[in-house]
Amino acid sequence: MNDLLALRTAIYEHFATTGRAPSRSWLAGEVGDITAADTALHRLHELHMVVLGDDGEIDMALPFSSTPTDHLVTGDGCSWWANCSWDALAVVAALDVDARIESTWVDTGETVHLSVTDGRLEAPDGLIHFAVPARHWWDDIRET
Amino acid sequence: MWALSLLWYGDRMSASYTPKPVDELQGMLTTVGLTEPFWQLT
Repeated sequence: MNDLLALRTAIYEHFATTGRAPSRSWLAGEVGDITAADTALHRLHELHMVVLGDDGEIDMALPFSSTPTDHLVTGDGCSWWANCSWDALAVVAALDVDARIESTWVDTGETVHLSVTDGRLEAPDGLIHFAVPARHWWDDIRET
Repeated sequence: MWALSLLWYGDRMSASYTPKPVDELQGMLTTVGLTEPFWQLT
């Protein structure tokens, strides 16, 4: 388990420093070979520590998205895609950085701009809609 | 949600992070006032 958690940490650090998910081939370098990387990734997926795509690559390491979304976080000289509005706040919370958030409403196309400075969310009034009850979040995390 | 983000994700980057038990996560939701059935994890 310690090796698995170490790999999880490496994945999160890669997201934090590059704004992108590490590839399977990069992870193979970390654990020895591609088979070991795939085994570890699938175990992390089972434990809900990452979400894999059909290609076996990392789609998500919550709150980070590996692909562009409507939720962009920028700070500390980097930018990150979040999976949803809450994940955009969560990226800032996880990284503990001053940051700007741009989240675009799917239904209207309106972009909401938020800032976090010294751990404080500026203009904290707003609304986030959760469509899925909490007990069902992991039924299909991509849709949640 | 900012308060919940800090509770839920504040330690996500830690090398010692492990998934939290459901009762601890439920406690976080309760702490920020999300107590309705919609927010029950089980």
